[in-house]
Amino acid sequence: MIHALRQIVANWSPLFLWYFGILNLFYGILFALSVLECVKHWTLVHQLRFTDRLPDAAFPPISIVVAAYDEEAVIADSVSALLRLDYPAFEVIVVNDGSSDDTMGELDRAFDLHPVPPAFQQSLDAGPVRGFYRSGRHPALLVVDKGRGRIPGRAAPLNVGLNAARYPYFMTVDADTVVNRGALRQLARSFFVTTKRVVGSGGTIRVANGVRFRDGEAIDPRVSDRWVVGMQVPEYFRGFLFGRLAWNRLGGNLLISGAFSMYDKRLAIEVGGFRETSITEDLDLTVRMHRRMRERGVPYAISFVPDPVAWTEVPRTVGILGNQRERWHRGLMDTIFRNLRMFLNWRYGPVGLLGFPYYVVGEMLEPVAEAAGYVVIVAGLLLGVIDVDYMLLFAALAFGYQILLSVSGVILELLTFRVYPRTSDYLKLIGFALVEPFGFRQLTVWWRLKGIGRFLLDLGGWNVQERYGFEEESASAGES
Amino acid sequence: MALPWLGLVVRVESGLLALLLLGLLTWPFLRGLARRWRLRQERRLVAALREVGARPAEAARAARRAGVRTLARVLDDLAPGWEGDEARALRAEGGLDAAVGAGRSLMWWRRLSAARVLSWTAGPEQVPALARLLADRHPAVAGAALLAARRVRLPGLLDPLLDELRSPRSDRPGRLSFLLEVVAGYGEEVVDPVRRELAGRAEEAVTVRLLRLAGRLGDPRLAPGIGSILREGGLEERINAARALSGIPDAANVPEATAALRGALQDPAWQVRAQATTALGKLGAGQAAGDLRRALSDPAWWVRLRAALALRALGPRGADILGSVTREEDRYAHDMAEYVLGLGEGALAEYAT
Repeated sequence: MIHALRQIVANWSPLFLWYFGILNLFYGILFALSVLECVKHWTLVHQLRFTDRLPDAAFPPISIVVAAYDEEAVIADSVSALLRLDYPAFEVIVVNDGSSDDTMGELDRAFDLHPVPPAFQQSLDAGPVRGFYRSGRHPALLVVDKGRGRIPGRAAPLNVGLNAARYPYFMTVDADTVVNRGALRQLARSFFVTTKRVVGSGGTIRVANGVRFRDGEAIDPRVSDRWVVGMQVPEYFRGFLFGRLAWNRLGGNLLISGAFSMYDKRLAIEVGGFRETSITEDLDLTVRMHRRMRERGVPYAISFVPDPVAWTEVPRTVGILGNQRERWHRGLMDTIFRNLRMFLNWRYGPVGLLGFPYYVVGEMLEPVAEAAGYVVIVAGLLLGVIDVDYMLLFAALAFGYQILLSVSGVILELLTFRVYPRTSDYLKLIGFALVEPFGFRQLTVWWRLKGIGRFLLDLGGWNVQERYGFEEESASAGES
Repeated sequence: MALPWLGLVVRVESGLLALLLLGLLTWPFLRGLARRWRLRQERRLVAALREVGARPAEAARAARRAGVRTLARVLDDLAPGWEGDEARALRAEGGLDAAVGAGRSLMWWRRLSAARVLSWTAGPEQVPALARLLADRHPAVAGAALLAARRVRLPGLLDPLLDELRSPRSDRPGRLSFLLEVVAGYGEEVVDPVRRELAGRAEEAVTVRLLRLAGRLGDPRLAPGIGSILREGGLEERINAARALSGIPDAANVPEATAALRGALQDPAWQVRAQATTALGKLGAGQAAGDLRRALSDPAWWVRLRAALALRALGPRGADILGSVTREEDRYAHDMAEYVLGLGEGALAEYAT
């Protein structure tokens, strides 16, 4: 029995070594490509100050769609911040998704709403709408009041907003997200970096916890001292700054965050809009857009722009964070299984041959491989197949590499866009990056494994995140 | 089980990490050093360019010697205060040679800087260079060249700009409206070429772009040509022709235009009929009131709505027609007339957008 176990461990451990080696080599390539992309955008922003000098006519008009469910604590601030955006032509469409709190009342008090007729065609079947309201104070604000649908989630209200949108591009923003004033102009830079048809474009999401806001504008951004929050900051850096930037050069991003991203309205409607049964509707829509454009054979781009920033509240307790990660993983699996025909399919070009397989092998199966790796190493140590020196070296390599990538992400941000003005915040982030592999990473593996289990057992459900509202200028920046 | 290379990999990894941390610690110093060097270079160039009137040869030499990016940066700050003589002096002494050369560079950021330099300084001799940059494959360079064309507005650039309008490149988001703005800025000069182009009937996508330009120009001399496209063009052409006519304030006084719009109310495509009713309302074409009344019985809801809104836009006469329809038996026309007569100013504004 022991002999058989030893044999199994001895046979399987090289497999994990190969998986780990190839995946991390690919991460290294992603990092190198993201540096090139970062330099390109940085040149346009800092060296050439490009978009600052273009006239208003050069920017396509954009409809901003906000889906709001029980957001009375933040909705007025969020919408006010959106209405103050520095962009030549835009409208804001807030869709109240049958909130059980006073979200509609808050909107009415803050923006003086008047009923108006629906002056558009319904392109997507998104369920009944109770009323349309135009703001007496801001003509660019339209509020749509719809009843809560059978399936909870953002997809249905976003589709309602998509029906009401009158401009060729629409942007989805979460109600708990504050978009930097100049972010829309920066996001529109995606139109000036490629000759292909831009069908989607995403900006960076930053952690709002610990940041003070005045009139909806982030002032004096700081990194939260709370460890659950702090740990997520280098994760976001890694995920956005080089996880997504590099994909601009590898056939386009499979995911642009629905909390702050822009899509081609015509194409979004053509592929049926947001799918109501999806729990990660942004990923699902982006993948379907890729599919449609690849099937049509039209050159297109779904790109990520690093400097436009939107701030969002992230979970501040381990429990809520776990629920969020578990849900994200279920959504990832759902989208992957619905589009499995793209996997290693040459018809879908680099997306089918590289992007999609990466999401399957490097994202979906990664927690399984990592957990199995831990089991094999522990079993190997107990059975004497793996010696302690080897294990320590391997751990140093694995954790060291993860730290290297996280620190590189932090430094890349510091050298280019530098959102946090204090160097001490970057040192704090490096501190978080140094301890992240020891405990926090294993927790994320566990949450994602739970996500896999729930997906396979078909246990759905949304885990609603509690909103605390944004910190006012007078509030303390620290949260500890 | 032990792998000898593992130790080496870990050492390399630790070295990289140490290098990164070292870079982080020395970064403020290195950044300060680079900034000081750049400022010194810029100060020298600014001093030379300030004296361009008195010592043009020296200024031109400094402009040639400075990198095109530095020159672009300095001109962005300095040139808005220039009155024309300075740029002329710089051109005469060959101060733009390096920038024109950079316009042919393989590196897009050098071509972009060249376009920025030319946007402040180009004269008729630089038209070929700007025309090449207008057609650049990199959208940022082409955008900067368009900005340059708007700023210098040289007559020789009109043809390359119209070439751009004919090119599918101009369909990039933002590019077309920017291009239309720049071309429309040429005013009278562009009316005749556009009239000829509309009469010549290019492919559909080009005609649609020309129609959008015609709508912006708002010149009644273009109305007959647009009217003929409204009668004979493809679907997109007819929709855009009706929209273009609504942008020409005097089109109501051009018989061919109103006749074409009234004829378009019988178009087989509801989108064209809806657009034609909107145009007739916008133009206040009172002579079309009877046609708009008939459009209230159109099978398409949007056409009926637009016809009722157009009648309301005609003032008391249109309101009287709508009132009379509410007493008629045609259920569709009756319901729509009642709905539109009941709309407040806010709701009308909602439909007008």
